[in-house]
Amino acid sequence: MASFKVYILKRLIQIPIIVFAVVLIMFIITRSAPGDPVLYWLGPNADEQMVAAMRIRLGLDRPLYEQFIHYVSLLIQGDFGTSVGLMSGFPVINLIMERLPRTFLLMGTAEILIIVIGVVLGVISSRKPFGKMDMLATASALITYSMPVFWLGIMLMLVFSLYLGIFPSSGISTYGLTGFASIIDVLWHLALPALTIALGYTALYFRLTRTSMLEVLEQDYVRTARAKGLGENTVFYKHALRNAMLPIVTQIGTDLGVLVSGAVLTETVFAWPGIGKLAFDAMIQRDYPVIYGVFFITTISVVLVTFATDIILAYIDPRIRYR
Amino acid sequence: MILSIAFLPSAFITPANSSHETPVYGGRVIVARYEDTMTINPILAPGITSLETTGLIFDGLMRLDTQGLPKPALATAYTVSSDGKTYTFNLLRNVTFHDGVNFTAADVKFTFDQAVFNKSVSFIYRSYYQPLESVIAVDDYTVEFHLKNASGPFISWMNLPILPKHIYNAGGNPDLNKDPHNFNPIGTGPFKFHEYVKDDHLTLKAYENCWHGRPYLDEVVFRVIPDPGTMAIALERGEIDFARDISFSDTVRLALDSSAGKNNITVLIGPPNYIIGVRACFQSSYFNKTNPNSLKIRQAIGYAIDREGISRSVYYGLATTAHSPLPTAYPFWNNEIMASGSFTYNATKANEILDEIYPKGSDGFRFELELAGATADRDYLELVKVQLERVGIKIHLSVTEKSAYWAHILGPYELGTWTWVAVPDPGWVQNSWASWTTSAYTIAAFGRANDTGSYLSSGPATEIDTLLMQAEVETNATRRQELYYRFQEIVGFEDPAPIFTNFKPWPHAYRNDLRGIEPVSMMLYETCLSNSLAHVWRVPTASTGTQEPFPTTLVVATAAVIAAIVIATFIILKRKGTKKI
Repeated sequence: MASFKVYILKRLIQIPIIVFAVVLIMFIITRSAPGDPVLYWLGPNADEQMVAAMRIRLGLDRPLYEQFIHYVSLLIQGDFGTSVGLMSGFPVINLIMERLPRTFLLMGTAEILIIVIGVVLGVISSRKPFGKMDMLATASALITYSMPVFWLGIMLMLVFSLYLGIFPSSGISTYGLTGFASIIDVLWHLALPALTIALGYTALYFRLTRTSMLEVLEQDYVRTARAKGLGENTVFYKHALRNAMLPIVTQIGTDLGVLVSGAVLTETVFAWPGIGKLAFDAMIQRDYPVIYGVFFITTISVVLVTFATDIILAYIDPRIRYR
Repeated sequence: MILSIAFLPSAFITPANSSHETPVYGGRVIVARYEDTMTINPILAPGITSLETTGLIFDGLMRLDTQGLPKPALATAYTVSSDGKTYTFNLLRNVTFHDGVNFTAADVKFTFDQAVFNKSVSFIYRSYYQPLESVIAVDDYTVEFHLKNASGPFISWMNLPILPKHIYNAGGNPDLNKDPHNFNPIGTGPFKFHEYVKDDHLTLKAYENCWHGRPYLDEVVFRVIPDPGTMAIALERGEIDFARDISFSDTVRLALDSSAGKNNITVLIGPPNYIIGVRACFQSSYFNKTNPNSLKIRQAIGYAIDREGISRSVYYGLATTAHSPLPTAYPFWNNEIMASGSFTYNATKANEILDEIYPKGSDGFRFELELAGATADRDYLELVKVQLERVGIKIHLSVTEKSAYWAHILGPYELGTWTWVAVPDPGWVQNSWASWTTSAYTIAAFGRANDTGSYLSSGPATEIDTLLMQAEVETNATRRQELYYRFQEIVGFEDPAPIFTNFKPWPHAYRNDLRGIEPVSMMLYETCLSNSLAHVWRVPTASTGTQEPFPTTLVVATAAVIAAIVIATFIILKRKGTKKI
């Protein structure tokens, strides 16, 4: 058990180092891109005095290393700064926290759909590899995976919204609804964007499950289980699927970490006001504090979820902690 | 198809109101825009989206009508002193802000003092008011504006929305940049602020005691739909009533469907809103003043660009050809330039000019130029490249997103695209000889006065310099028009720096049951929306338009089908699994 504690301690020490490295890299990359928020808002022919005043107000007149130190010192105090979107002055943390629930709702629903559809299809396919069902599922998954997400979104919107009129085309809610009706309404609005992301990424889980299942089904213990006369369902779901789930669980862990980053294209197409769109707009406008804030939250989320996944795996499988 | 599209624009423009219809009160209009408002303070508002929002909540002393001409708003009348340096405005009485407090001259003085004279306030259009020296509240309903010099366009700038002093000066010494009312505003306009959810919606309610009467609508909701395709679909479905930012392709599609009776949408093209062109940088070796061939190259480019081809291929036939930076719909537009046929597409003439100075090499090209631009103009850039290469100018395209492009053109470049915003008075952007600033045509086109490579250099004054300076201080409208006519002749043909190619309109589309929408080009505080919504109304017999009811039957049926598929799958799996091996 002592070794397990040492393992946890080592991983804990790694976290701030990884986060600092990401913040540094993010800062360098962001600032290497041409343009800045002053140029974006005032244009290339703006009055020099106004440009200078705005640069001072936003702290962009200071040397880059000073800006970095200033930003890190703010971060340590839990201050993400304020948006430099000209006059907005919104605290970055507020902008992110407003959008996080919406992004979690969209990405979480999509992730559940991806896992359920992907794993079910993967299991079905692995029961009879290269059979009709497998070929059909493989072809469907690869077709949707190959489609650009924004195109898929627009097609779903055209069919299910414009032509069939089943779902709303965009937005997160119908204006003016309250109470239970508003909850149903949000789910109604959620359907198409969640399905768009799900269809786009189901192939990943489908292929992973199928490959993992086929690999496990070749194992000796599966043959033994069948030789014992166990029913195919028992062999499949109790013996094979449980073991085949390990890489899937690892993948789920990774995906959960990046849930907070949102889905830029889907959010844009469906006018879903989430983190992805916020990050995209911030990048276009060179709104540095917002870019840093979104990256930072995403990094923390990925690092913590990965940490938790590793701890769970290490707890389950002692071989991991001794490596 | 091309022919039918070419004839579309005139068919799109529909009368705003049928004269026999009687306006009725009530209803809600949902407007979609591609971006959210940045602030709801008109002084801080950086762009058209924010400005048109504040245009519904606030009023200025004057307002610009659909022709861009100033009309009284909060001011009943004004007089100008004989030297043109003092404007005296008489204000409306019994005007109240949304909180019930009376509007007075103190509010006018406060607003201008903050916007123009308080340099810490981020008012990006401050330079427009550069001639202004002081504002004096003579009494509660009289205000004097003292100018440093006479100014032709000054009266057009008097549409600056007026802030209530008692709100924004609460506690004294305000920092307008961070005032909490920037997202909870109080004004005198037809609509009052109700609710704001950033990046989702903004709701305004009718102001019952508005000085020019209650608006017909009860409520206006602004929604943010970033994708233009989605916006068009939302309009077709009736989820929104008014789409402000649909694409040219959707404009044509919606209009054709409308003509065929397939939708309940009216498409409004409106007057030209943007002017796009190719701008030559005077810092490049081909265009600097020491190169004797600079003018001929620019003129050859003017002939080589097929403006009608661009309109057809890039803008679905909705753009028109441009030779001037001034919009056609306004009084300063010089129609004689068009009449003279200058720079009509003539590749032969372009080749003749270039043959004299740069004969073609063995590869068919004379010389190479970089053509830079932003991603939004990619199609335009591609076509211009093809057209210039036809006359032997090898083009290297450099297409980047807006911020990177702007950073790029801060340094020397050769050719770059530029979009000029069509504002009604050239003086709006050519306001001060000493302080060239945020621009539309003049500065963007010619650079700042002290730029080494600038068209308007600090050297001996050119004719353009003189014309612009004279026009700035000229108050006689006819004389100003003459000066700007000559200005257009020079920049449009004789000595083009930017080669203006097309006027682009700003298409709007709305549900057929809306009445009272007026086409108007962009003019900062006045847009099609802000000018129209105060008197837009819905035909009561039509459906309320927006927000189709929840389609319970369809959704339940779909859910049932999905559930049946899932259950069937599990049953099949179960049956297969029971077989013993």
